Amino acid sequence: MNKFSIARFLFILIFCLLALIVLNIFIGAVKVPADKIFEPAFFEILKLRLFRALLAVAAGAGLSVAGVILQTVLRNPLAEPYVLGVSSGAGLGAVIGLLFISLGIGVSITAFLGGIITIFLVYKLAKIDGRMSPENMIIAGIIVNGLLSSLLMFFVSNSSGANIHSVIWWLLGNLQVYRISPVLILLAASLAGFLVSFAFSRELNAISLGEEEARHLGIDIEKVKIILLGLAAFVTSLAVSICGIIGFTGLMMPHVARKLIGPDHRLLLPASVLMGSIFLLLCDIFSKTILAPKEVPIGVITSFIGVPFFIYVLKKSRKAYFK
Amino acid sequence: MRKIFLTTAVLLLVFACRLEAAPRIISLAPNTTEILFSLGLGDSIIGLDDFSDYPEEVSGIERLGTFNNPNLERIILLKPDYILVNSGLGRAREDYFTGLGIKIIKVSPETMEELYSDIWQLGIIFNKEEDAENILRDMRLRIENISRKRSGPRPKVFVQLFNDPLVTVSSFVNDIIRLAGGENIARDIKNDSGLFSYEALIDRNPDIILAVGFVDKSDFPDSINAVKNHRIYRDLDPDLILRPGPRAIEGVDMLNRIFYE
Repeated sequence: MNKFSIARFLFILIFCLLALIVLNIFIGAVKVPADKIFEPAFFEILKLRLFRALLAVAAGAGLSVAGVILQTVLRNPLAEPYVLGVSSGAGLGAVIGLLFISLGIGVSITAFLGGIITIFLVYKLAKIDGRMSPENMIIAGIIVNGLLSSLLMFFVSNSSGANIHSVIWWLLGNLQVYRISPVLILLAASLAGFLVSFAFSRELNAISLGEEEARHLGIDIEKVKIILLGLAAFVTSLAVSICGIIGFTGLMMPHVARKLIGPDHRLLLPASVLMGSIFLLLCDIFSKTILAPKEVPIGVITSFIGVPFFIYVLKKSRKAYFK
Repeated sequence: MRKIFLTTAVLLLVFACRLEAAPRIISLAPNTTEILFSLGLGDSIIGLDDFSDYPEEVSGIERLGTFNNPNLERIILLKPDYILVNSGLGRAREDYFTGLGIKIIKVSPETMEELYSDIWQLGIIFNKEEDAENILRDMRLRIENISRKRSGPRPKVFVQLFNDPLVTVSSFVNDIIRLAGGENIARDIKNDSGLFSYEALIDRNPDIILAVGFVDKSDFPDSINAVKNHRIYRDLDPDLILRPGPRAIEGVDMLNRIFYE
């Protein structure tokens, strides 16, 4: 795409995003006539739907930022917060926070600790003789995910009845919040994640060319990596502590964006963020409508779409790897 | 003339009282539904969870999903005064409803005495003290009668909810079994329901196995007393012993007959 068509593409994405936010306000468990939704009688419902749509925007954006960072820094097309276990790590941290510290900001802190420990653990495990193949990365992710889910099940199976239900439902992903503050927190965190990674566009571009090349450009590559991996863990953990585990979202949109507009992070990052938000808004429409008035957990839907996509990318990356 | 005025005034007062006494209630648990109906509050229920199946009158009432995945928007539109739940709706959801001025009432008694006090509390909240008193008097009387029918040592009882893996339950049912004259061998499990060790089952050697829930087979070794003496009971109505509601008395009665027949 040339510059003009990229600008037009980003503009179309923004338009789609706004349109989907509006559409999400009109769709929900209760059928409210379109001309009545803004009446006072439906104020509470309008409010809840708006919170939910904005949270989808925030979570989609944050997970996509994390996905772009992980894919570039780890030089791995399959890297994604869920696949690498960062989401589960944050989930475990959050569950421990929920069970032992109670709600509030404490949960986000334990989630962040879980997320950041996981990402560096996977990083260490996957690096063999200073090299990190996509396969090693996936295997490290599986190992760490296995450990984390056993720890999670340990805590869940030993907590009392009511807690079990809420934890399990929460782990399946949930975009419904009841107050504006978690929405604003995640919007701020995702925006911050986007801005910081955008400020590192030059470094990200250099790393995507290869670590040697980046070093030649005078970039302190280990330092940049630690900052950016920490950033990815931070955004993912906040998203998990508020919305539960929403898998594969960070995998798909950065990929599609890279395909469509190329590897320049100054364009790739905004495009991925917009597409990630659009994707989660679309998934949430499915979540609300497929079994209405019951809801299908959002994580179920993103994984259902994400797994075939993952297989496709895995096949492609293997071919490229062995070429 | 004065008579007409007086009658009108009285009628108005009665009408006002009725208005005051007509709360809008949503019940999101089978046991709270049963308690409400027994207190004569069936007409005040404007919405129910998917699992409430007793009494028959529930069939005409709108369904709002399960307690952990309720139809939030519909609940808001129904504008209830009270939401009754068993164990809870999760902290965030409860805080939200409370903020809307909806009162959340939790009814998850662990013993029959706690159930009595919960019914009594509901009676006070909904101006049904008299009904509550009658129900409680009747329940206490029946329990007293049942307890006189006990003889011999307490049988050891195992409640089988699921066969593969072996899942049992330990909460309100413990007290039902105790009042019926038995003893739940899994009563030391802290969770509401949970996996139970097969070895512990053999070691604790139940005299009676109550195969309620989703059990398609109970192939336990012959060393277990319940197997040896053919005292594995199926086709029992699980709701009578697992639901902390007014029908629990019938559960106690049913188990008492099983234990000492």
